[in-house]
Amino acid sequence: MTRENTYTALLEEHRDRIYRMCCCYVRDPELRKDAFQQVLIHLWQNLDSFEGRSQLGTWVYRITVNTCLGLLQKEQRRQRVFLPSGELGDQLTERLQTEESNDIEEDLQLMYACINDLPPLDRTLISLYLEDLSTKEMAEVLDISEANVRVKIHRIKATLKEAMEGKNHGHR
Amino acid sequence: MDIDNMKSKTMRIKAPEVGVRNSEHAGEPTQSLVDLLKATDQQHLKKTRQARMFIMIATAAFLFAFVMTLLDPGSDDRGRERQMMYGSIVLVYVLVSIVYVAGVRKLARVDHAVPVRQFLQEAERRYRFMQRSDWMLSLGGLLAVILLTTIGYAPYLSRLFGFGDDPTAMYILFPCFLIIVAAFGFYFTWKNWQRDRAPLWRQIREMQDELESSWNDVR
Repeated sequence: MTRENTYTALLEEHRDRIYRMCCCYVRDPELRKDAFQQVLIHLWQNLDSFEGRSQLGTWVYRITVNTCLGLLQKEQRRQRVFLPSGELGDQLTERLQTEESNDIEEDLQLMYACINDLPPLDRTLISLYLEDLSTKEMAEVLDISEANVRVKIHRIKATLKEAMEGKNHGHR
Repeated sequence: MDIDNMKSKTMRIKAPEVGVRNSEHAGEPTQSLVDLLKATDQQHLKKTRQARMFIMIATAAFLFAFVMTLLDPGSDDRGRERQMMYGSIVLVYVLVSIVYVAGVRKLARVDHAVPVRQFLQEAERRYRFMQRSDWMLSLGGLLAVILLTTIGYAPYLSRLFGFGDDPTAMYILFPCFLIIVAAFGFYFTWKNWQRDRAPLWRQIREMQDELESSWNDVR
């Protein structure tokens, strides 16, 4: 299988997951697409480094999470979100176009708005949780213990529920 | 509203199509993206080769000039002095090139495929103001530059500034001058770091603390 074929197959399988995870980090749809593109670029650039020591899914999640965390850090510094940095990113953003085919439902938008207010690492955990990863897989992505993941997830879910109910009441 | 109930709903969200403007594969989004990525890789490789070529040519030119002065020091009594000047330039140039290339390589080697904990550790190291290796490299490099340029240029500078043929005063003044220049350089590097990188570094530290604190909570 050539590098291109591997990449194409990987994208076909994981693109929706990657995009959904980006939703947990970026609220603005345009900027979210930029983040999504940046993840795709990093997947390509890191393709040769995949050695099969972890599962392909775990590898993809790590790249997605690390890219989004990196972009979040830069965004907080610049106060403008998610333009891929560096020459490669700039060139690609100029030439890439993404077409959003679906709108996110209102209750999901509310949920993502609440997730976007969480600290970066909580966003990471909840984005993995929403993708239905097991505790073990989440622990592998972050390199923390499974017990730690369970505690964190429990706390985040409670915080999120409260925030969502608060926003929901405010909405009505 | 429960997060678990929302899980299945999120699965309906689909990624946007990714395409490339004016690509011959415009109708096949993934293929056009792959084409663009490959083309960009090629472009990057070409630039790296050009930079490497430039460094090699410049090194060869400096070495050539140095060898020429060794072979033909000139008929006057300043031949040895010229040899020392060229020699010190070549050594300083090689030293700076090595440090520069090592720095660029280090920055370019960002691995996004590692676990988050490791990614944060590496990011923290990258954005920190001067790692231990940077200190050693900077101070060692500075010492080498001071020694080499002082030995190479003190006799010439001594005559230029009217101190005569005895370069002893210049052996003291020139290093002092270089140390002052280095101190200014250090100060402005630190100011730049404070402005550009320190906020990022602090955020990374906060994220690391967050990761560690939850770990400690469990223990």
